[in-house]
Amino acid sequence: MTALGVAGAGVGRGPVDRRVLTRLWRHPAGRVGLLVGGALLFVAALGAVWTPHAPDVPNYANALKRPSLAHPFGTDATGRDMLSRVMDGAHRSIGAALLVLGAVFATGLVVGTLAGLAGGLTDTVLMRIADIAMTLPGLVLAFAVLGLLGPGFLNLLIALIIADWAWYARLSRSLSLDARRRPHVIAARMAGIPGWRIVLGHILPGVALQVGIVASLALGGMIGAISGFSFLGLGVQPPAAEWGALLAESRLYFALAPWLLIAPAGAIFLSVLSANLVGNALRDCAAPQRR
Amino acid sequence: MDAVLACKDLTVTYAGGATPVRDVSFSVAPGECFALVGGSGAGKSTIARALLGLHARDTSVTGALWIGGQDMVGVPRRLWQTVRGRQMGFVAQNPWDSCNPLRSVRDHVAEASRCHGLQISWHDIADRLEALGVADAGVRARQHPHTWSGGMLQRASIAAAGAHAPPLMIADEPTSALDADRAQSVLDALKSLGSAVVLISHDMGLVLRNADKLGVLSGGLLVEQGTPSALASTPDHPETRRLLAALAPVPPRARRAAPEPLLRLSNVSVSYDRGRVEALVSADLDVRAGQIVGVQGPSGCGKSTLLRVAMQIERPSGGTVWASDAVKRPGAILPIFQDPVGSLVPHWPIWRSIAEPLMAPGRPHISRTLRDEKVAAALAQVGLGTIDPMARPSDLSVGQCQRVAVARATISEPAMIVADEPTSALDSPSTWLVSKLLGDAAERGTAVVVVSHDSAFLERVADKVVAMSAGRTLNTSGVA
Amino acid sequence: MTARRKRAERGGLAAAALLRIGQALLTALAASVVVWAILPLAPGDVAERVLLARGMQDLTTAEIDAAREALGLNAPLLVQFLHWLGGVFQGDLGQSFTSQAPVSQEIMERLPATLMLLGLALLFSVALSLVFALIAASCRDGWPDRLIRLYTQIGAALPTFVFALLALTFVVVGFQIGRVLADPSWSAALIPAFIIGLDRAASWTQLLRAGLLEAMASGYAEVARARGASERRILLRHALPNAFLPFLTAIGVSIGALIGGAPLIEAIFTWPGLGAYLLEALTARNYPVIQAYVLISALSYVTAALLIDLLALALDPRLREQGT
Repeated sequence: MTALGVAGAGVGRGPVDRRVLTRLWRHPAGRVGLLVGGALLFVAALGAVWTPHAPDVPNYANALKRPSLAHPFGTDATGRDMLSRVMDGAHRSIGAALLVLGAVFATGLVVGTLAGLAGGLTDTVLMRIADIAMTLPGLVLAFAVLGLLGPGFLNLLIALIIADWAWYARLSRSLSLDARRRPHVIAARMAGIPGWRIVLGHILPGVALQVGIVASLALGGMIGAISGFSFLGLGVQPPAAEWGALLAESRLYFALAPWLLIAPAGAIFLSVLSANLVGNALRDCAAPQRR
Repeated sequence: MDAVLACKDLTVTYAGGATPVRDVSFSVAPGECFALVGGSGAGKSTIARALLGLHARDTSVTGALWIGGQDMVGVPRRLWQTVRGRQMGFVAQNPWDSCNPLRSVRDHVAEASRCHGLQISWHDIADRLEALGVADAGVRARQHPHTWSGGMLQRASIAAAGAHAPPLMIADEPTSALDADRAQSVLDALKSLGSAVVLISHDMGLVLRNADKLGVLSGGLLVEQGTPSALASTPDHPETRRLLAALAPVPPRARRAAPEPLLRLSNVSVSYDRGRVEALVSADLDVRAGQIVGVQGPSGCGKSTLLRVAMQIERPSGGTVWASDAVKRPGAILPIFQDPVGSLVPHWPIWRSIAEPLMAPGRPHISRTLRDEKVAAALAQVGLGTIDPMARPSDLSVGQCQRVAVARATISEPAMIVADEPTSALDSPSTWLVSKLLGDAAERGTAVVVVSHDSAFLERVADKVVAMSAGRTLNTSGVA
Repeated sequence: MTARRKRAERGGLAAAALLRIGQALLTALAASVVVWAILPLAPGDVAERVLLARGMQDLTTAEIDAAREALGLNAPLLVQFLHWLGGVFQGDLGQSFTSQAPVSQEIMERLPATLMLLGLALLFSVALSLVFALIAASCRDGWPDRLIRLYTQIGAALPTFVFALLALTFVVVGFQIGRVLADPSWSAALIPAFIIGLDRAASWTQLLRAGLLEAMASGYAEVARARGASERRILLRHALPNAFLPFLTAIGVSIGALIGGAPLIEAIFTWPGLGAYLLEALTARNYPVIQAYVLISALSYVTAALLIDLLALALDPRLREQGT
């Protein structure tokens, strides 16, 4: 029984079926998204340690230059290289979005499944808190929190996490409640499998996959929201570079140097595009494909 | 041509080159009921779509297809639109699915006339519904489809399909979404219109009872056709024999002389919402080792509640439950459910779902090799020895999933198995196989409680059948 | 019999509507509780910041203490909240820390401009997505469908503010259409609203197109086809009403994003509305204004969601009969 020999090796494998990833790669739009997203992640990692020119050292003699070989996207009003600024900003824009989504995903998953599986008072208290947090549109709540805490990158991240966690908690709760009633969970309970093993083996992987898909679909919006807040000066503070903040700076000179808008807008566009492509493809691929 | 429908060498080719239907030829005389029967994947629905001209744009249909004397292969879509509805009516499998949920039932019936630019009065619609056996049709037809029962709504669909008195009706599994006891009356309503009928079904029993002529489909080919009596007495093709075998009685098994009692419920009641809802009024159940006890009744009669009490996951509000020590330990009672796909952990390979009862704490430790051997044996026992144990539930058909679920329920040789409508999602060969597997488990000494609305299935599989109605167990039939 | 049933159905509808209105008011109230509950987390001394915001410098402890007393900040938070809430019911939203004018008055001056812009934008996006999705669904995989899909991909990948910024810079200013410094009038709102609507419509078109295609492949569409109905009839009579319901729900959710995005949009179009007012208040930490903004946003969000729920209730018989 060679097949069963292989079977033994698969015990500890995670919820994401390797075939989902294979399908994602075979999905035409998914592959484009993965490639563009991978390239952006590489640029973000690179930009954190190396850029062609120093991203935040002014050089007034070199201000507002047209795009050239040395400066493919031109230079800004203080003569800083736009390409270097955008590369430097990449890890803040993308990293912040991933960080916020990771945080709301983890909080939501833990709070939601805890509420759903524990039930009773725990459930009531946690879900009332979530309900209250959900009465406001996420962005309005984020503005309010920022208004109280004051502008700043860290405060922005806190505000966005406060604004969003409850949605993920609600979703995780309803998914775990649903999972708890699934026949395979009842079968495991009747077989005498202890509760923690059911939660880890049967319930959590499925819930995490579903919530993860929702989070991946939200990535593009999150990148947009973070750059939007920074555009308003409520996120990353100068001289640090961030795509939204770069748009705000470039905007002041659009009459003289309209090309300055291209690089940060293009970077936002490509990152949201790749996030959308991957998110949509993941949703397609993770849906069970019945023969 | 005399026939209302005739096809010659009808072949359907998908864009990718696959041919789900090949060289199918048959003809249907006026007023005749011609049945196409076959298992899942035999090409039944593909033929139905081709007969209606509803295949996808990139699918090609070749051969000849005469409807009312006109060859419809390759004609423009506009011409199809005039033929559909007027020359042939269509009744689909699921009556609720067939109706626009936002519109009333009479709108649904009227739409069949209106889409050909004709008007029909509400009064006429009510008359047609009454003629098909819908009581109080004038009032009920104003309601929306989701408030109707399946049998009644299917009659409304038949009325819509017959709006232009077409010489031909195409019915794709018209009764498989309905309870078994309603199916025949709906078929009778369909045949009462006097049109010729192409009846597409997986259910050999139903087809033999109703068709004037039948064709057996297998792998996209029409492998055999003839009259029901001819095919039933001298089947030529293995597929025909396989479908007929599903009608055979389950092989008898040795019964124990004095089976020891495992579980006894007497006068058990269950109520919810502080007594306002009585799910179970008074129920008795006696389960013994190696016995199959069937519980039969319409939906809402409390049979699922009774089953949950027997599974000991529902605490009764009254009456007594006696359980022997053999069923008290955890893992002694294992379930089989109605939904085969949901019964298996979607992200696990099937071997892991099957082996799970062996890994419960309190059971003796089992080595990996022994476990793999047991899984392989269990798979072989349910006739899935060729399936890769690493396959996921989504790789399997619904029938195969249910067999995996049976393997899981039997692998640890529990004292008792409880099965809730285990066959209602299955086609007849799979149903037959599951019946046999339950019998095998009972032969090994496991008690089986099986709940179903399908009395024919229960009579075949169970030693005794308990009928239920309105929260009460009634008479018990069969051997005690 | 039927008349009574109709009346009962209508009665159920009214009851359901009343219930939703009650829930909506509670929701708006809960929203302000949230903001008051975060207040203690705010860093620094409120009274000191108020005085600084009024342009006073070299503050003494005595001055700050006096201001704190005058602003009522010495009372426990709950008392302050109840006091504020009492004011809300009389239409008093407190006093702006900076201008010292009543917040309600300042808000009423700016609210119409925001409602005008957002309302018009909403109208554009619903209309555009309806047209685009119907065209795309009726010629699936043909060139109009491909073109519309390209537009939806690009639109969904451009955050509204980036799209607005680019459109304003390169199209409106570049070709000198319209004015950049806008006064809040319907004609001035037209171009900004169209730009916002065009961007929002991208993701809504995606959604409605997918819903229409799903409905076109549904059992009832297939049966209608088998009865001889034309594709156009199936699309308009069967698919559209069914696909419209989930679309409506999605619009309800998006309205929240539209309201929340108002400050950003107004900053880009230099539109003198509520969002711009909030941004001023944010830099000055003008708490009464922030609280008022939250309350107004919550009320408009809840109202929009309520209207959409009632619309869905009126359209879908299944929802109606569940309520009774």
